[in-house]
Amino acid sequence: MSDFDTLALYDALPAEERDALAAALKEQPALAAAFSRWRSLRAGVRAGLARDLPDRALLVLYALADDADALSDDERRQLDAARPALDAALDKHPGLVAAVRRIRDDRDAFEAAWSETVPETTRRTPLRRAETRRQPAAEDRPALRDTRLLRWPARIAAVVAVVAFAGVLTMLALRDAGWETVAGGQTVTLADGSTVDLADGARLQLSDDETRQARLLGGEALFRIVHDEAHPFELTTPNAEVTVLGTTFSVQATDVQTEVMLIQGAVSLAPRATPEKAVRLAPGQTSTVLALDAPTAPAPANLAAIDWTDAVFARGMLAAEVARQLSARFETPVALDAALGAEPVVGEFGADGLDDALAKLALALGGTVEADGPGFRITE
Amino acid sequence: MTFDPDAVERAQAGDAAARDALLSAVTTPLRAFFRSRIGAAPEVDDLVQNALVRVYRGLDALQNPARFKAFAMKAALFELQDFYRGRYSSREALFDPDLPTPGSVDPEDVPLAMDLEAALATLTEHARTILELRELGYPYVEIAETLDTTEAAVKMQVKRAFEKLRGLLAAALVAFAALGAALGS
Repeated sequence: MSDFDTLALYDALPAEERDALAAALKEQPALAAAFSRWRSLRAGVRAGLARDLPDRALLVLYALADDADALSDDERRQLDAARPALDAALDKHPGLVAAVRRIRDDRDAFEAAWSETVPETTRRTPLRRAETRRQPAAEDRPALRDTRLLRWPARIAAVVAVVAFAGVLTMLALRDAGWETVAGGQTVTLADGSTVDLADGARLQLSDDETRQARLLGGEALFRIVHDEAHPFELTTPNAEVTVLGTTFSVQATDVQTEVMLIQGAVSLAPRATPEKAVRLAPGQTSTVLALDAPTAPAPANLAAIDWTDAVFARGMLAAEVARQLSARFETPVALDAALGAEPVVGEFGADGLDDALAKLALALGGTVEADGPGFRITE
Repeated sequence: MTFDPDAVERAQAGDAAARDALLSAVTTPLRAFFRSRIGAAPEVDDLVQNALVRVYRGLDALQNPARFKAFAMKAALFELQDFYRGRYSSREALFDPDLPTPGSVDPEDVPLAMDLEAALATLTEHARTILELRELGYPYVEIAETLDTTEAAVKMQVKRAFEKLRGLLAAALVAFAALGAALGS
């Protein structure tokens, strides 16, 4: 093989050939120049892929989307939101199309591994719908006697793995000591007066020692954190961490994704694995950490999406829209004089009830709240 | 130990024994899966362990316990992608796609002196697929499996792409140097 052939496949050389190539590069400037250009081109390919597909985990979700049971509702929404960009990336990069095929092969390999190693008695009815598509035909299954023989090495391997993993579990169990878990659908007041509204299904862990720390294990939550510059509030999710000085922000977390929307104040968001990649959000901005990737660049947030709390978060929202949302949330008609409806307003309306929201809105608009039949009207 | 939703819910509710049993039971299929994908490599232990950590940490957020198998599968697939991204092993470490190569300049320091897209457009779609899969971190042997061909054929495609692009890059550099000389004179 020539030196140039060696260059072409520099990334798959055995150790001794790598050493030889390194020596040749030092002695032959023309070879070194060609090598640099080749690597530049390869780096360009890599950069193009990273630019068009910044979140690799999305490719996994995309590959699994044809299986009705594979994705959670959150993941499906996440995928739907990213689909236009994903489709464009797949059109542009044939390697991504092939990678999707490979991931589907991986999925089939997992299904096969599961079928071969999980005893039949552990595969219960509720899982059957997800498994139907790829379950082997009965005649393809190994005979029971053979299966038992084959399973012993696997069982021994499992015991060894469990012993090895015990250290990790112990570490994680110790990590959970001193934390109280709170279920969703309620508002929690912390020792410093900060509050957390938990959406249904959310799970939050609070430190027992009253330090300003919390863990959002999953679901959606709205944090109103009391300002304390000397003691920043620290929130972690399965894959990200948020450092807070004193602010109101919304967090939606799954096992692979954390999305933060900042309403007021300041927060920084970083992957747990690489805190140095933190980004700082300004009010009205959002950022997302997917799996282990760096946070997405801060972008304007759709605060209207925080529609599971009583509060309406406005940042330049027209007063008429605030009134419409208050009407819907409190099931009480709220009207505005026509001249006021087109005014943009900033603030949080409704966290302390409709009366408080109307008073704030009227103050922002320089108007007056009046009873109006079954509801209210803000007049000039 | 079963994977029925009740068992998963017990684990989610904080039943330590149920959680331990769940994790130990999923260890075997995870190990079999990773071995089937990357062979009996030393990294299999790390992959299994990190996938278990993903399962452990994400279990509380699993909203539908009946989807535990899909949940474990995603943990395995995400972990495998991290493996391909080079976050695990010393395999091919000297020329790891994410690391500068010792003894050479950083790729970012060497201008291509030509349009990357134009250069890639001169390649066949098959060759471009191979280069992109490689830059996604897949080893050549797995690229061959994915494209239903042999590792030797894949490497031959890479050599041809290199030869083609080497000529283009060299010509572009000559033109670039001539342009620079003309502008300087």
